[in-house]
Amino acid sequence: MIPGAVKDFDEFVRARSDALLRYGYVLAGNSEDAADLAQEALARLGDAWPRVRNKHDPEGYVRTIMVRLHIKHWRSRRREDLVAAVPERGEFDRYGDADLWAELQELPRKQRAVLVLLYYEDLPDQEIAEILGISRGTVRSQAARALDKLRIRRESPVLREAR
Amino acid sequence: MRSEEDLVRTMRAAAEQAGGHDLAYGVARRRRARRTRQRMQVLLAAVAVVAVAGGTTAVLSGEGRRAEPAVTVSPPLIKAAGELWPQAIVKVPMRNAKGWKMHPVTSLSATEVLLAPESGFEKGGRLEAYDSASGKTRVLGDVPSPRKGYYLQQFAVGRQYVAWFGETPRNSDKWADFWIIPREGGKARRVGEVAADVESIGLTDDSLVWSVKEGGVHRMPLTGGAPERLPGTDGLHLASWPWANARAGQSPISNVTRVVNLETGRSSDVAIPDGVEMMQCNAQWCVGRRHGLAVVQRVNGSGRRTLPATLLPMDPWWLVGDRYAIFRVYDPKNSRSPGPIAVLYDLATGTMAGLSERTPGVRGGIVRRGSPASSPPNVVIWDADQEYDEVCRNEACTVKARGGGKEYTVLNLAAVPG
Repeated sequence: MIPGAVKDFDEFVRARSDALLRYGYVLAGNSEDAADLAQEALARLGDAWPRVRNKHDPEGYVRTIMVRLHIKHWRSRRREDLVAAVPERGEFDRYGDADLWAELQELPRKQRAVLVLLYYEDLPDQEIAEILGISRGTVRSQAARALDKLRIRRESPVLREAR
Repeated sequence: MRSEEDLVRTMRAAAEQAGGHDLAYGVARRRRARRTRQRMQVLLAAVAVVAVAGGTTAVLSGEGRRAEPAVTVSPPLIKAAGELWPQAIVKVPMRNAKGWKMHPVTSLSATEVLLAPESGFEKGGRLEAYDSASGKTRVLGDVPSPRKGYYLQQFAVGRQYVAWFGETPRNSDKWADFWIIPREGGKARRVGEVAADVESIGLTDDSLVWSVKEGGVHRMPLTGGAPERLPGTDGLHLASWPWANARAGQSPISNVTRVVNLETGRSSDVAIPDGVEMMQCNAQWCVGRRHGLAVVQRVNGSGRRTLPATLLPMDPWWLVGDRYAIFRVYDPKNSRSPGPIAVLYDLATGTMAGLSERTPGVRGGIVRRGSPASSPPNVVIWDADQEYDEVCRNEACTVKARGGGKEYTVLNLAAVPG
């Protein structure tokens, strides 16, 4: 790899870490797994950097790897990493809606990922279908099922369709 | 029914909780590991060729012979906290006389443990204290609920009062109120309210002090009155009065970079070695994590040591009391022999005490700090009747608890001889 490319990649990691961690957190529900997903996806991006940085959008590449890894239940630390001693953060809920956040954790990974891509990443159905390697119909049915479970009213279906 | 906006708002609010990890190091390490693995496979393939050429029947597979790090460490022999300091172990009922679930917050003295309703509440509740000398619980007083959607956030204990602050976390406005109640019990009194994102509180003899999420320490007389910002506290976060910290980033788990005594104004920079993350400090000691191992040192960097891999820092809220930390015991052989789930580590002397007991064969269990306390609490809690199962699916395992639910075992650090 040429030195300029390495510097490029390091800069990308520095600049985008926080945003990727936030995305990982919404996907995985905790900061350990969020960091794990982001690091692994960035490491893979680093290996593919010369190829990716010119042709594609590297951020999109990383985010796609992250969501795919997450759906595959991927964990690097595996069995060594059971959280055992869990000293509690001295706080009660700080989320917008703690119940809704808790219910989101209960969803199957794929359904949750679809919601994150739809509502956090604000992506159109077609792009989500490509990222997850499923059909557009499946994206819609997974989203509908997840929203039903969370008791969320679906608004503006026409608008979403039009994007 | 909820709306799609609720979902968007919740996800965005949650995203803000993401910890500020420094990813660069982990990314570089993973890439190195990957390259080493690839080289190993090439090497093994080469060996296989040689072996076949030599006419032997050695069977080698690149996949199967991947170099595993030789883990030869064994967990240290650790005495249980109850064996070392029997006077500091207290059994506290989980439910009070009214049947409410209570949670140990911190200790009031060598014999008294402060108990709060376990999970916050909206309809009021009360504070109690369990006295290990008499084996009885006393009521400190009622905790009013002044607003709809009001939740208790954190407690602080001073010489004369117990203080807390509450918020309405589901409302988007920044608001918090402060309350005090005499330690001997009585009626709770509201000290004041502020339009701010309060993150931590403390008590002096005549004032309530607090810091806000974006940094900055404020005070208000206990008799009420206008809030006042303490000069020179920009970017400071209250740790445990009079101590405050500056951090490297916005996240509460970013490295602490400076420790300040707000009474004397003395300020010390933290000597942070390269690669250390989540460095958390009290007045004298700091604990951080490097390459997954715990690094302990004084604020100025002296007395620095890296703890063995048998003591794992799992969560950045590892400081307890004024000179201890909790680490998880990691037993690489997953031996079926009994041992503690976690240890209390004396930062000054290196003395260790075992906390709770693992279910043989299960690598995990639950040991917690007292909560919700603003300063590192003086108690560590577990449920001694609980047993654990390890549930694995797709190579990811979690630990599930079963049984217990009757009483807490509390280690009161105020009763540990220092």
